[in-house]
Amino acid sequence: MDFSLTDEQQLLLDSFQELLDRECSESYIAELDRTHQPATAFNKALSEAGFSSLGFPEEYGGTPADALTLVLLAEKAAHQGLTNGFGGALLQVRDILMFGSEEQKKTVLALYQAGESPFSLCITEPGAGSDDAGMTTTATRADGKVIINGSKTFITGAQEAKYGLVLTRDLENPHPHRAMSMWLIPMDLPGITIHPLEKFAWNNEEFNEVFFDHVEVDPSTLVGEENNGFLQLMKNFEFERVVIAASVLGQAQAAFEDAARHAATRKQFGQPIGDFQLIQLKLTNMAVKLENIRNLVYKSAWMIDAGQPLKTMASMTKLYATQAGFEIADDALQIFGGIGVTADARISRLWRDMRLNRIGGGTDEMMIHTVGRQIVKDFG
Amino acid sequence: MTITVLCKWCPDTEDLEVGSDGSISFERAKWSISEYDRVALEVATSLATEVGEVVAVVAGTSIIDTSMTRKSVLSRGPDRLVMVVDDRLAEADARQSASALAGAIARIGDVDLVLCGAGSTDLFAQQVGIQVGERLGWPTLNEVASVHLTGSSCRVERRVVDEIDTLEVALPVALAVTADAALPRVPGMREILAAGKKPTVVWSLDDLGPPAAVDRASQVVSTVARSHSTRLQVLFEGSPTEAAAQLVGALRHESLV
Ligand SMILES: Cc1cc2nc3c(=O)[nH]c(=O)nc-3n(C[C@H](O)[C@H](O)[C@H](O)COP(=O)(O)OP(=O)(O)OC[C@H]3O[C@@H](n4cnc5c(N)ncnc54)[C@H](O)[C@@H]3O)c2cc1C
Repeated sequence: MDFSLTDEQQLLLDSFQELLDRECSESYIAELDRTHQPATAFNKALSEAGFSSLGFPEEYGGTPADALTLVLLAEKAAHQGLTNGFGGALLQVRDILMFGSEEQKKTVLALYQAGESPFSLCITEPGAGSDDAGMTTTATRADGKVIINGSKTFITGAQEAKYGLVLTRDLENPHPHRAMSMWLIPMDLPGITIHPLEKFAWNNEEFNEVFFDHVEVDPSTLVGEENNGFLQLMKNFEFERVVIAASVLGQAQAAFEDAARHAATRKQFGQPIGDFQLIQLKLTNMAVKLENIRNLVYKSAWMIDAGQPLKTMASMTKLYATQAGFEIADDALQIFGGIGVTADARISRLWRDMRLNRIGGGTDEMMIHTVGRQIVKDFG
Repeated sequence: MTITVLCKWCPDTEDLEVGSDGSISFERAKWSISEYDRVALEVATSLATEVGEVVAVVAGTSIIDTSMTRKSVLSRGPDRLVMVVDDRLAEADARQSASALAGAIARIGDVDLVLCGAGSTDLFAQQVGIQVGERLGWPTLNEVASVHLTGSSCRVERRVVDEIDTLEVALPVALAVTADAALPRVPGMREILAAGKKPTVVWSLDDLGPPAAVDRASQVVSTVARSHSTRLQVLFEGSPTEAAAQLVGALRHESLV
């Protein structure tokens, strides 16, 4: 088993670190957090340095990259302290690359490569969270047009993005997973209202309620096949879970390093607190968890590259990474004591931000649901 | 036209470890292209888009002879790479390095312009560029903030204390550029993949003729870290004007201004 990186991966990571050091300092990230702003300048820099072309085919101006490389970059951006700094938008773009029309591919890729946010993912509804079959947003055909009605919630980046990738449901079809359709809709159309929701973390990405009130769209906004929306969505879910876990890995590593440095220098009772075994126990457990997350994340990425079906691996990886990652952040905060709670300490932001990963992208419970059901099935 | 860029492959000073006795260890350091030479590579690459090819030259012991070194240098723009790999260059001083590099430039032939960084990240002796020019018998300038090629000569701006000198120098010429002469690119995947396909030649000192291999002019007796003066950790509060006034006052008090 070879755990080493290729020259190309190592060089790309070095380059990426150079870019992060230049364009994404801790003070920049802290300012985004404080002012609730997206990382626009950093995204532009990513695009100028060619990082927004990674991971999709050359015929669309991209540079192909394997899953492990993309996961390593997501980890690195997160290690810098930035939440969702790399990977998220790329995954969304892949939905369009797989199922979109030529026109949709061109539009979305041009926006993404220019460092802009192409679209938000509009799936969750007030009545349909973990259970997306409960969705009630509809698309009705009338006079050569399609009319969208309904509402979505917790939609990340809806205000910023030019488009929304909206999932609708045909309520007359009794098989919910064969009754959903996907639409790429401009967000400035009449009838669309976006209402931001205040939250306590991920301040560099707003999330919103989005209301569709008799929104008239062209039938060409359909992505892929009608009623195939759910299956299309599922295609990239597995990879998304691995990328979320990779981001957690980077931020957990950052939290661990901050805590270890603090433990080595903060003195109480005449000695560094790191000399106390209770603190060493925390640091050791954190280090073990970090290695476990790393192994799960890298192995999942390796499986994707090897063309192996992930089955439940992506859910296991997300479940473990987000739980253990948050435990690492929590222990790190504990090691900091009072100073860790202040806004100036990076750990306070990491702790807040890392908590959300146990909900967004599928909750812990839903991951367990997926894995547990499969285990019982396999042995049944 | 051929432009050569001298690049040093050296340990990252951020990774150096200082022992309790002041000893300095680079054992756990990551190696990369000297930061200042990245600037020279960028200047060369932007000039070459107008006029010709860029050849990077790296010299050192067998430690530099890796695919990582090659791809790292070549991903930053040059068209090809010449490596002088010879274990006689272990702990080379400026004289030895300059001889080896000048030998390589002579062997490349028809070089019009040699560029290098202000100094190296690890030693920062600021000698090699000047000594290479001297060995080649070319005009040599340091502190060069910008370069424009004008046919058979080049126009350079030098920053000297508070003034900027503009000079016209006939080619061939050797120039050491300032750290801010250009913002080095961050190579992307495309440049990194392309780097693996660019040509590299490896020469030993013996391939370069006798003048390239010279003895060290000096011997390092010891290297220890300087002891740091204690920081006063004074925080000046109030408006920026008040804080600035307090700072100047404190510096005066310490006879520092
Ligand atoms: C930061 C963040 C960003 C998000 N961004 C987006 C976005 O861009 N687009 C989008 O469409 N959505 C987004 N979401 C929504 C997200 O996908 C949902 O929050 C998530 O799927 C859970 O749905 P819910 O919040 O309605 O919780 P619910 O489904 O109501 O769940 C509440 C609790 O019940 C548990 N539960 C539910 N069903 C079961 C069960 N069968 N067995 C056991 N326990 C169960 C859940 O695990 C959870 O603990 C985001 C969420 C967050 C937190």
